[in-house]
Amino acid sequence: MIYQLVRRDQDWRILGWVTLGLWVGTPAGTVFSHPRVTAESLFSSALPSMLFGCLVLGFMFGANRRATLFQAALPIPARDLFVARLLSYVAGLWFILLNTAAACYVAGSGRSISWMSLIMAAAMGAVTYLALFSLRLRELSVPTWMAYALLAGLGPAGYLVLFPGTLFSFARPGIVLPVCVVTFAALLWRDLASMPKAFQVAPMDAVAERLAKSGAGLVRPVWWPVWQSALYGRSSLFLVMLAIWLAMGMSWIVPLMIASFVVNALVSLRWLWPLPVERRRMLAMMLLAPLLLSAAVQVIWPAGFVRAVELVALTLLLISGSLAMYKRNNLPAPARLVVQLLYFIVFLGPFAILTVDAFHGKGHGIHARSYTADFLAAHVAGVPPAMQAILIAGTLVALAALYWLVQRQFESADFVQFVQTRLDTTEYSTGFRA
Amino acid sequence: MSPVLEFDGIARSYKRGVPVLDGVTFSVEPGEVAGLLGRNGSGKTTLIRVAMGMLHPQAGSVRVFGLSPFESPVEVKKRIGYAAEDQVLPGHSTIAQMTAFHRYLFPSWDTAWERQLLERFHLDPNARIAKLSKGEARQVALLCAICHRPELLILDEPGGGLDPAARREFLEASIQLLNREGSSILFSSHHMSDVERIGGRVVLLDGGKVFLDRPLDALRENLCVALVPKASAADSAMIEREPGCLRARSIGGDWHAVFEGQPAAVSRQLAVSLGANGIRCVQVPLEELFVELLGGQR
Repeated sequence: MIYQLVRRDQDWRILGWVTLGLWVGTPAGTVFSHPRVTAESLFSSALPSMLFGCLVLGFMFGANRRATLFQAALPIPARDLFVARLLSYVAGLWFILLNTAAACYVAGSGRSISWMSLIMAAAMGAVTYLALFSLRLRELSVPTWMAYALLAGLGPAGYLVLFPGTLFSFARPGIVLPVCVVTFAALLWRDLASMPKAFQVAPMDAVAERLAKSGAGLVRPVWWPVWQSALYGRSSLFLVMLAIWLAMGMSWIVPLMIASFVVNALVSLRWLWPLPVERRRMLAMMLLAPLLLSAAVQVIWPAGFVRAVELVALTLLLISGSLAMYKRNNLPAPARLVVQLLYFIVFLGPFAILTVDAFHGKGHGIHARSYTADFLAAHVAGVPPAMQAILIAGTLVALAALYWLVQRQFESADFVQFVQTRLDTTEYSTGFRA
Repeated sequence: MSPVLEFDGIARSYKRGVPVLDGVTFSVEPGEVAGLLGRNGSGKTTLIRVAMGMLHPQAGSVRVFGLSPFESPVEVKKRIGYAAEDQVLPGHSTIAQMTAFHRYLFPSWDTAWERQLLERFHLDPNARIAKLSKGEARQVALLCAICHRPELLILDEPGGGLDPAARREFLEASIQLLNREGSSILFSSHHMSDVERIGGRVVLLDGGKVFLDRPLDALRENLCVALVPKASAADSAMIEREPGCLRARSIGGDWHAVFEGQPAAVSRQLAVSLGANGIRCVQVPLEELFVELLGGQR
């Protein structure tokens, strides 16, 4: 039974894409990085990124769900559902991390790879996931806010432990691995011992009624419901994560968080689409919240300073990339391939920048960014003028194609319908429904 | 013969002090068809989830085939077919993969019937579920719920998303066939025509309790609606105090009250007790009865 469930697990769907991204991104990172970058150092930098990526992807694809409503109605013991889901996730984690190692190995022409870092990353990822899975064990899924709180807390913590630098010295395998093994075993033992026979769709205890708000007479702006929809739930967690990463100086991940926020907010705002509201205004409104937050964090926390123009450009590029993926299946095969390649190039851009940033010994602040820009400028200056022209023309054509595609998707009448259908067939309701 | 499904004093709330179910008690006998009716939020889905062992009641007990669905969920679910309106099949699977999985789970799976239903619903086994329309996905879910010939079929809004032809096809060709073979059926629906077509018995939920539990024929024949002029009674409570009155509400210039009994007898009774003229009593279709019993302005 467990095998049957594992092989049908929905997470396998995304592994192909992640692998493709890794194999495209790693050589790209090598090409754009400094000659001093070694396979080992490249690997060390890619590893935490991949680990974090696994966690984010996992949560986005419902890793907090032990079983779907559909599975809960079938004659399958809760224990089998739990173990199958755990196995799928841990196997997926190893799959991604091994691919990272293999891609780095190939890109670095056979230089040594820190296998111990790989094992530590996998162990920490597995413990994080099991810790999440152990919350509110009786229910079909862990509440989303708990999952994101855990991710927001443990993601940066894991990054700090694994990232090569002064903090890395604390992450000795002799300490990390036994702690991970013991924690994993203890959590698993506790979970299996207290496993319910069937998962429940709602908590056993009724929750207290929310108290009436004191500001009942408060006049709210007419756009209040729109703000509320855009900022409520999963999308706001991306904003929290954005603030955390920014404060840590990891500005390269900021546009990704903003893009995730915007895409999630778009889905939350689908009720607005049949109404006569200009969609560009909606997009602008959604962008305002993360950009204001980014600016605020930049001012309060100068460690994470990044040029505003750069941030806006990357953000818009990533959002375009996200939107371009809608309805790609309706395009003819060659166009679909182009869209997907563009998507990956756009999304791997920040990772390539990270790779360049990480190995000049300049940290992750404004100096590293300037150095990166200077380095890239020098790199481009070394290219023959004819090739430069081709490179620039190619980039412009690619950007124009991306813009055209996004415009087409965003303005098409059935875009909403597509988003709606996608939700209907992939989301599983575990909400309270009387 | 012991009941197939037995609810005894089920209580469930999601928010403290706001009970969704408040002491629901009824049972479904072998071979019986029971239609669960009620307004939105009356607790139909909650009750069905309790029966499936997917939601613990805070009070009371539920037995399915004499077993607790919480203590023996696998044994119970092997004998149940279940389809719900908000139940979503995995989008990345094909129909063939889905039915293969069900064949694996249910040894009694009827492959011939599966093929027959696939043809009848014009479904391509190689189609991915994510690519199906909402109605087609519902058809697949219903097919998965019935092809193992369950002893108890539990359906939460079975007609939702289906076009009228597909709904009738499903209800008549599949559910009735199962019922003729002795399966019990509990279903919730807002389509009164569905209830009239297949429902042998109607259980009406209101205010977290069973408001009415009657065979469909008795409901149609023994209940009538009295239209009482406003001037004849000071308020609805005055009419509700009359023997046999189930509910009264104000509509325009009249009181509309649902009574047990034949129209002529009820009309005579009201004329005597209220001392009023112009009272009319009529038997109404099930949908009208539903509105009169559960409609607003009481």
